[in-house]
Amino acid sequence: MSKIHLSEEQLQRYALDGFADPVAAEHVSDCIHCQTQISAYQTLYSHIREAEASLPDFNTELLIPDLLSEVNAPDKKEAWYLYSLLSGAIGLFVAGLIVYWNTISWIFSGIGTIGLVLSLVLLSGILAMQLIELYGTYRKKMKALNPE
Amino acid sequence: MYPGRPPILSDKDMIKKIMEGDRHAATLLIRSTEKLVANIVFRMINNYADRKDLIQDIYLKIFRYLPKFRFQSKLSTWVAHISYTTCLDHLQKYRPELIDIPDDDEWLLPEIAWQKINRETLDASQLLSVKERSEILEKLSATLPPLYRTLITLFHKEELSIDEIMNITGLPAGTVKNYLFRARKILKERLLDYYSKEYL
Repeated sequence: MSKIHLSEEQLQRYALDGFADPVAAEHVSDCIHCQTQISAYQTLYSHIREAEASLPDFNTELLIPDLLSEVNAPDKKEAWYLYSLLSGAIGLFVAGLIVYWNTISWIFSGIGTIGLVLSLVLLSGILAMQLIELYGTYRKKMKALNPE
Repeated sequence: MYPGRPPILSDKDMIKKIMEGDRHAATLLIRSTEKLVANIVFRMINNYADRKDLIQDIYLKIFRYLPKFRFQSKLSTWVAHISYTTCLDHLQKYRPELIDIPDDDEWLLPEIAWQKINRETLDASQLLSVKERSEILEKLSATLPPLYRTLITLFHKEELSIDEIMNITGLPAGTVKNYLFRARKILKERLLDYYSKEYL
């Protein structure tokens, strides 16, 4: 008989599905220490399996929304918020341009055409990166709802 | 469908009916998943009031996002995934330390306490009632990290496969297996310690 006790992993597996290689199985049949360990794991598994089921102690049927079809309908309110936010941001930008037009044109008067184009490219780049990040967050949230 | 229950409606039919506003189908969905949801929430969250709020939140999300379910997994796996991520978000927001995974050494018990225990003592534990055994298990797992408790419940109680647990938790297979191994080892040590004190 092998004098080496089963590893913890072998013990767990043996207790779970009774699987062990012939050498390990022979050792278990003569080793009280390993038998006790396996028996402990089997007791643990049966305790978990037969434990009383958890159940909410309130009427879960009350959780069904009153108007199911409306809850499942596409969220028009959400789209409305998004459009308002977007048009608000564009409105503020245009209003800022109109109010501070003199100052803005003074700032850019010293910059040549190339500088102006570069500034626009830079600004567009920053804006695009922000939008990509926002889209990434949205995708992540959606993926959380539909794991592969 | 939820394991252990006869499928009354297929996942597809159930979702279709719920989206049409059928309350009976919605009730069936709740009835077939409430044990699974409760098992996850109860293992991850200790606070009673939080549990109730979270179960409400989970079902609200389920009904709201049902049209977005793409049948890439079983409906029960999707429900379990929403339950798990909702609980995880809650824990990360309020009690981040609860999802910390401890080093093994912290949990090991001295062998002296239980080395005298034998197989007969453990076999005798089978004579205890289900309620008594549930209470013992509750005591043993009380201070286990919520993630360990959840994985143990999903694998041994709900009898889900490693693949299904991966889909629910988003953890890689190796991590799931490793956490399960460590959780079982900790619980086994505690079980031996408990029975050596109670019955010897």
